[in-house]
Amino acid sequence: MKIILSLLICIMLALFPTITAQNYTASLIPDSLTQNAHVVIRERSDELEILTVNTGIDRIKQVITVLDKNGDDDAVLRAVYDKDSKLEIKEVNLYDKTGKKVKKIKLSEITDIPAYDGVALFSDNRVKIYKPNFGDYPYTVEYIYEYNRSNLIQYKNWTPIRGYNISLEHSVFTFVHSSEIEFQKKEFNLSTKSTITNKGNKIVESWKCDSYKAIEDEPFDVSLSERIPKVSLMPTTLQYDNYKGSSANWVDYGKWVNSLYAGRDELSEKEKTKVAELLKNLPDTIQKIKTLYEYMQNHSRYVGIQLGIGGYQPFTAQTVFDTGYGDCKALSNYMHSLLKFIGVKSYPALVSAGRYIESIHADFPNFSQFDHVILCVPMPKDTLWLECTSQTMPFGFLGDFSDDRDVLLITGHGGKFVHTRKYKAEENLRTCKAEFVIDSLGTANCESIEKFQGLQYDDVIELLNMNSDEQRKWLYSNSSLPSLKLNKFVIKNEKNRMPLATVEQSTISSNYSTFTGKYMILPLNKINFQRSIQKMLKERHSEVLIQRSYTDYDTLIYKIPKSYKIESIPTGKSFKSPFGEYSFSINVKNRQIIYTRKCTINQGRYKAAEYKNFYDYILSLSKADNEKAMLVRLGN
Amino acid sequence: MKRSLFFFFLVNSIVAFGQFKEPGFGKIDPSELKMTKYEKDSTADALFLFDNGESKFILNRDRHFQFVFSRHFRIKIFKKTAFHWADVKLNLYKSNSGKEQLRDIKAVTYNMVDGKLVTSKVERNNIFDEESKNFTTKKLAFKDVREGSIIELSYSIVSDFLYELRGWNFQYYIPALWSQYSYSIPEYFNYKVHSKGYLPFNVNNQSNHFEKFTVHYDSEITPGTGGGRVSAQNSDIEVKTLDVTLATKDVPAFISEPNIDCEENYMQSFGFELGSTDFPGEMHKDFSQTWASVNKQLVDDDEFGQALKAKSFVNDTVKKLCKNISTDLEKATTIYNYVQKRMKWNGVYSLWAKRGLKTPFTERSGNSAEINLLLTTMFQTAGLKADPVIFSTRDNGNEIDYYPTLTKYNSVLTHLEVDGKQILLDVSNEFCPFGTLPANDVNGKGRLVNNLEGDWVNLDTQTKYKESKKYVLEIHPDGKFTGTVDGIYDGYACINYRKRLSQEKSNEDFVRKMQENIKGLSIKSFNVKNVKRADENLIDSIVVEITDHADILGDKILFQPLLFERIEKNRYTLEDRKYPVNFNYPISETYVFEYTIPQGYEVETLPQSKIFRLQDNSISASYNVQILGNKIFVLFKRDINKILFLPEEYPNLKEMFNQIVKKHSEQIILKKKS
Repeated sequence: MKIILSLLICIMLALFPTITAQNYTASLIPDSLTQNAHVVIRERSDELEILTVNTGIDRIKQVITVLDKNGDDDAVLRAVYDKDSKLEIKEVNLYDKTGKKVKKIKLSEITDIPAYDGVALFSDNRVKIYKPNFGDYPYTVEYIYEYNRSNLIQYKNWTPIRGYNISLEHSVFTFVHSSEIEFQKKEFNLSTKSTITNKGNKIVESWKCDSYKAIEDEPFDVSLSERIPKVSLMPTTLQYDNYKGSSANWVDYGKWVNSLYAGRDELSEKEKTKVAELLKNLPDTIQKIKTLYEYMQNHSRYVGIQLGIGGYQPFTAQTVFDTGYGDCKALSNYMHSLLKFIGVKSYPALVSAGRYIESIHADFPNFSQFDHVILCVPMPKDTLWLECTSQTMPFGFLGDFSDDRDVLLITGHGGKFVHTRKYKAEENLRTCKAEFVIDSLGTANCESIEKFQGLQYDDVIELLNMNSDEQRKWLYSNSSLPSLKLNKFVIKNEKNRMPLATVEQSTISSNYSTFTGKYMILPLNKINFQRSIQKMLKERHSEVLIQRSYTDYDTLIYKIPKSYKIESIPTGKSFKSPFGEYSFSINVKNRQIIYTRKCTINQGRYKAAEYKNFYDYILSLSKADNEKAMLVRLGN
Repeated sequence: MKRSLFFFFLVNSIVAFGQFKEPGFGKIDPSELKMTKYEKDSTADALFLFDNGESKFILNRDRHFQFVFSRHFRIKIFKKTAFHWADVKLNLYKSNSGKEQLRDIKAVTYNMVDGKLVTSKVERNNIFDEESKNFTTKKLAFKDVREGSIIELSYSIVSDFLYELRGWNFQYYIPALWSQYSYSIPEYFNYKVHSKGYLPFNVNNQSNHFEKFTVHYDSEITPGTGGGRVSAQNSDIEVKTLDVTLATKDVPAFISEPNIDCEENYMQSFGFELGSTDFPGEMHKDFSQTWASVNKQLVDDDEFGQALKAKSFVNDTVKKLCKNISTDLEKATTIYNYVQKRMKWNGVYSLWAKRGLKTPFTERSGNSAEINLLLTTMFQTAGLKADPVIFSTRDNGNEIDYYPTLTKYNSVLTHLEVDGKQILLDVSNEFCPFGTLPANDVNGKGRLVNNLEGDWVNLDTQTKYKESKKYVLEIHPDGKFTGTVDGIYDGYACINYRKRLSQEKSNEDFVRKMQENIKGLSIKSFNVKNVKRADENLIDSIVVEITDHADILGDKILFQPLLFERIEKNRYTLEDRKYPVNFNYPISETYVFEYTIPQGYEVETLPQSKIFRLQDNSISASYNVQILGNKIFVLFKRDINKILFLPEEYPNLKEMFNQIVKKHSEQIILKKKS
C-alpha cells in the first residue's frame, strides 16, 4: 500500500508540471495582441461555484504580461474585500520575459489597507494590493486568489478586460451550480456561445473570450463598458441577511429595494413641528416642495457611506435629521420623508450618474447598472426631479449628472422605468452681448453681459457658489482677453427649474489689438470661440458621440479709434452639417463693427468614419472664429 | 515682503496683543455664531476661532514616560466649500514598541436656530475605526453642519513614542484668529526643534517649574525568612521642567502661488525630535545630537551602511564589467550605465534599502535608496571611492536649518570621487547621463555618509536646460508654411525630451500624437538621433507643413513669426509675490527662423528688433528680425542664468515677461506686389 501510494505521488509529481506549467514567454504573444497594448492578459480564468442561493466560492487566476512601463499600473493587484467577501490570496508569481520564474511573492509583501475611494468617509471595505515592479520588460505576473462570498445579491459581472490598451489572449468563466439554483444571465459583446456540461450533480456553464485586441481611447468615443465582453449573472432569489426578495424582473427587484426603505421615512415630532411652522403660510404645493427642498439643502450635507446592507439601505430620516449628513440614498429618503409629511408622493429613483450617459439594459434586472439615487416627484402636469446630495443645485434642476436617461423608480408596486428630463439645444443656451471701445494703443474697454442657461448653467455652477474674491479670480483665469483688468462685475443666479446665470463684466484689456507698422490687427471674437479638437491620424474604431446639444449667440460691437480706418475685414461665413449650424456676419456702421455669431451643436451618434468630417467641421468653426479685421492708421 | 508682514502685525496689535485664554468646551460666544464672514479675509470659507495644543509628560503605572498631546479647536464655517473641515480623521500610530491612544474626544456642532443656540454632539458609536498596518484611524463627521455653524473638537492622545513629540502647524489653508502650542518637557529629555515659515510669533514664552511625577510601586512579596510583604506604594519625584508657549495671532490663510518649489517650506510650522536623554542614575543617551552621531547611526543601520557591506553578489558582475578597463572614470561610467539600464526606479523616494540590495538587484527594481546604494556598493567593489549622500528632494522641501536629524531627508544619491573630482550621481533616473543630477535632486545641501563623520555636499547643477531649433520655411500664398525644423537638445531639455519619447510605444506614436495635439502641424518625416545614448545630445530633424498660423487679409499675409515657440501668456499674473521664484536650473533657448517670401510678394511691415535684459543680466533675451533678399530671418534667444529670484525682484521679472509676450504677438505682414 505504502509503495503504491509513493508511486502514485511520484507519478503525480511527474505529471504535475506538464499539466500546470504554462509557457509565459513574452515572445509567444501574437503581434496582433501587442498592437496598441501596454499589457496583455495571457490568461484570465474565473470559476464561480454557487454553494447555497447566496453563498459561493469565486476562484480567480490572472496572468498578465506587461509590455512597457505604461502598463505597470494595469498589472497591479487590487482585490477588494469585506465581511461578505472573504479573500484568500493563494499565489503570486513573477516571471521574466523568457517565462522563467523570478520570484514567488510572499504574502507579507502584499499590502492590506482600507479601501478608501476618496468619496466615502465611512466604509468597511478593505483592499489587498500588490504592485509588481520588475525592471526588465516585458515581464509577467501571475495571481491566484479566491473569494468566499456570502450575501450574494448578484452573482457576477464578468469582464475579462476593463481598460484601454489591454489585449486578451485567453479567458474563460465557469459557473458551477446545482440545478435548483435559479438565475438569469446576459451576455455582451461575446462572439461564442456558452457551453453547458454536467459534473456530478452540478451544472457547469462556461464562456470563453480569446484573442481580443486592445482598444484605444479616442476623442468623442462611446464608453468602454458598451464595447467590452461581459457576462452578467443574477440570482433570481435575493437574500441579504434577513431581507428576502426576488430579482426575476425589475418589478420584483423594486419591491425588494422598497422593503429596505420601509419604515425609514418617519420624521421626529420635533421636526414635524418645525416643518409645519416653516410651511404655515404657503398655500401652493410647489412652493411648499421648494421650501422643503431648500430646507433639506440647508440642513444636510453629503457624506459618502458604504456600510450596512451592501450599501443599499438608507439611514432613517431621523438619523439624517440628527446628524445633518447622509449619502445619496439617505438624503433622497430624507427628502421623501419630508414630502410624505405634507402628503406629497415621491419615489427614490436609481440612476447611473455622471456626465456620460450609460445606456441601461432594461431587459436584464441587474442593479449594479446604477450607482446613485435621486428623487422623483410626480406632479399633475410633469415630473419634478430632485438631486438631494447637492447644497447648491437649483430646485428641480438635474444638470448633466442625471439628465436624459432611464432611471428605476422604487415604488410600493415595484420597480418602474422612467426617463429623466432632456435639455434641448435651445434650452442649453449661452448668449453674450459685448461692446469694445478700442483706443489707438490697442487697448479695449469692454462691457459684456453673458447669460448661461440649462446645461450651460451647469458649466458655470462652480462660479456661482464662490465668494466675490474667488469669483474675481475665476473670471481672471477663465478669460481669453489679453492683459486683462477686471474693473467691475455682477453675477446673478436665478435658481429656476430652467436655471439662468448672468455675468456682467466691465474690463480693460490692454494689447487687445496688436500692431505691426501702421497696421492694427483687431481680433473679432476673443470671448467665446471654438477650440479645435484632436485630430485622428489612425483608423478610428469607436462611433462618434456628441453627448449634448447647445446653442451660443454672440453680438459683439467694436468701436474703432478715430485715427484708424478699416483696411480689410471679413464678410462672414456660414456652415451647416449634421453636427450643427454656424454663422457669423459683419456689419460696419460709421466707426462701429457689429459682429454677430450663432453656433448650434447637435447631440448625435455617428459612424466611426464620420470623425474626420466632425473634425473638419469643428476646424472650420475655429478658423472662422479666428478671423480678424485689419485697420490702418490715417495720415502718418 | 517682510515689510508688509510687519505692517500687518502692527495694525493688528492695536486690537489686542494679550494672552490667549482657552475658552471652556461649549462656552460659545453668540456673536461668533452670527458672524457671516471674516473681515480681514472675505475669501475665507472658514476660520479657526482658536486652535490650542498642549503636550506634557506623564509617568504611567509601569514607570514609563508617555506624553499626552491635547488639542482643542473651534472652526467657524462660512461657506459650504468648507464642509470638508467637518470630516475628521485622526491617525494613531502603533508598532511593536508602543502605541497611541485616543482619550476624551468631544465633537460638537453649534448652530443658531431662530435665535437659539442648538448643539449637536457626535456620539461615541459614530466614531469609526479603520485599521491599517502602522496606524488606527479614527473617523468622525460633525453633525448638522451648515453655513454659519461653529464646530468644536477636543481630544487627547497618549503616546508611547517619545522620539518624535507631536509638532504643530500654526498656519492653515484657512485663516486663524489664534493658534497656540504649549509644551512642558522634563529636563530628562532634550528635544531638537525645527521651525519653518515667515510669520513671527506673537507669544513666545519660556519658563521653568518643578513638576511632580508619581512613581507607583506594586506590592511585592519577598519569600524567605528575611522576606515579607512590601505594600504597594507611591512616591513623588520632582523634575525640573521647561515650559514653552508659542502662539500666532490673526494668521493669514496660506495661499498657494505658482513656481514655489515646495509649499510646506513656507507654511508656519514647528516640530520636535528627541536628541538625548539624561535620566538620574543613567548614562547620557544620545539619539541624533550631532551629525557625527547621525552618520554613525546610518553607517550601523542594516538598511543603510550595513547593506553596503553585503556585496558579494555583485563581485562577478563588477569584475565582468570592468574587465579590460584601465581608467577609473571609464569604470565608473560603465558601472553607472549598467545600473541605469538594469534597475528600474519604483517611484518611491526612500532613505532606506528596505529589502537590502540583493533582492532589488534580482527584481531589477527598487526605491531610490536601494538603487543608489547598489551603485555605491558596485563602485566600491570596483575599487572606486564612493559614498552615499542623504538629501531632501525638491518636492519634499528644503532642510532649511540643516539640523542633525534624519526626519526631513527622503532620498539617497551617490557621491563619487574620481581623479580628485567630485561627481554626484542619482542612477534612479533613467534619463540622466553620467554626471547630471535629476532636476528634483537639485535642492540645497545633502549629507555625505562615510566612515568618518560625514560631510556636507552642495547639490548644485552645472547642467542647463538648453535647446536650439532652426526653422527653414517657405511661405505659400495661401498662408501655408513648408520646410524643416532641426533641433539640438542638451542637458535638462534632452532629459525631458527622452522622457516624453519614452512615454510612447514608438516614435510613430510620438509623431502622431504631436500632430493630433498641435493645431496646424503636420509632419512629413521625423528623425531623432542618439535616443539610446544617454551621454549624447538629442538631435531631431523634422519635415513639416504648417497651416492655420497665418491670416490672409485682402492681398496681405500676416503671421506671428515665432509660430509654436511663441510665448502667448505671461505665467506671472500676481500683483506681487510673497515667495521666491525658483527656476530649478539655468535655461538657454535659441530659435532661428528663415522664411522665404513667396514669389510676387514683398514685405510690408516687420516687427522691430529688441533686447530685453534684467539689470544684473540674470535674464537676457533678444528678438531680432532681418531681411536679406527674399528671405526674412527671425531670431529669439533667451538665457536665464540665475535660479532663484527673490520677491523683491518679482516686479521686474514680471514686467520683462510682459514685454516679451507683447513682442511675440507682433506680426510680419507681406503683401502682393503691385
